[in-house]
Amino acid sequence: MHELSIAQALLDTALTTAAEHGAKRIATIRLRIGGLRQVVEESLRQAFDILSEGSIAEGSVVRIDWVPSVWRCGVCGCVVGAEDAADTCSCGSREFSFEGSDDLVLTSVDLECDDDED
Amino acid sequence: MMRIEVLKRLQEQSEAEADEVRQVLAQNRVTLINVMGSPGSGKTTLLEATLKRLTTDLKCAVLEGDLATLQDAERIADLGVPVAQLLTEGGCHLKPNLVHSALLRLDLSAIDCVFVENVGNLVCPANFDLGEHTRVVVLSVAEGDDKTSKYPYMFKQADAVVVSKLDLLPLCRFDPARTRREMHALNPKAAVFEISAVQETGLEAWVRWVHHAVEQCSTGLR
Repeated sequence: MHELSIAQALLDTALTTAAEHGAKRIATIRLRIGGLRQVVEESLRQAFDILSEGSIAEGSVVRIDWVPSVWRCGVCGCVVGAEDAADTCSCGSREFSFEGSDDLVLTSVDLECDDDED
Repeated sequence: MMRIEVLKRLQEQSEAEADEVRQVLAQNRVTLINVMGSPGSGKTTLLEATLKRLTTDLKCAVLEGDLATLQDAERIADLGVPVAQLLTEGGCHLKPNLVHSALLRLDLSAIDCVFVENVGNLVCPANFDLGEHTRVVVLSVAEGDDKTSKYPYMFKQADAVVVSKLDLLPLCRFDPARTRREMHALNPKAAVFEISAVQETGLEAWVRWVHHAVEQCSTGLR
């Protein structure tokens, strides 16, 4: 459950940004998560909902941009699943490389401020 | 409505705490080795076997991370090695601030190398830099040879992988060549060792590697 720590960091960073801009509510939070982090989306959302309760981030829409990890054949370049990386590629090669992102980035927030029109 | 571009890494706070740990280690010329792996992979047994061989020329200490109980700390204390038990009380990984406060409870002036035994888990601990110099993952043959590809983040960041319980190999579906191949794809610089702590085989190369890691670290600190 590292999702709880991630949700806390996400909330803290979003709230700090909102305070810097004098926002009264955070409408949307966008983040980018690399596949290497092995984040369970449902757990992250659940943790965020609980942690954000009573704050100006309560009810924010959280949009996640996932960056998947891939195993790639070193010879023909085709992408294979993790379970196939142990076997031989259809081109006969047994050499695979791994490409994965460990991004964990709050990319942007949509803020509602006092001078917004209703 | 106002859209604000933030582009902030969420691990910044945790990394700042890890930097504080690095500072404490540098001040005291101590090497920190983060030992990770599944529950039951043989982390404590590896540490016991390693400490018996290291303590003649290196002054070591251990921080034992667990969800509950003091059993692992007692095993290390039986060897006469300074040990502190870190209880996460349900938390599935250690965090740098917990390591920081535990380090301050040790007499660091009398220690060359601290092993942190992380909570048994192949997912969460991979996400937290503790301020360590070196990361080691213990993988027992009983777990199966598919773990490297199933938990790529853990293995990608490992400086060394210790394949443990080699004495059980005849009973297990485990191809050490697959571990080497997948480790080569994930992190070609990582060292791979095959050991049996019970039969005391393969330990020499591993202990030499630990020595080398400590030497490199102390050279870097000077």
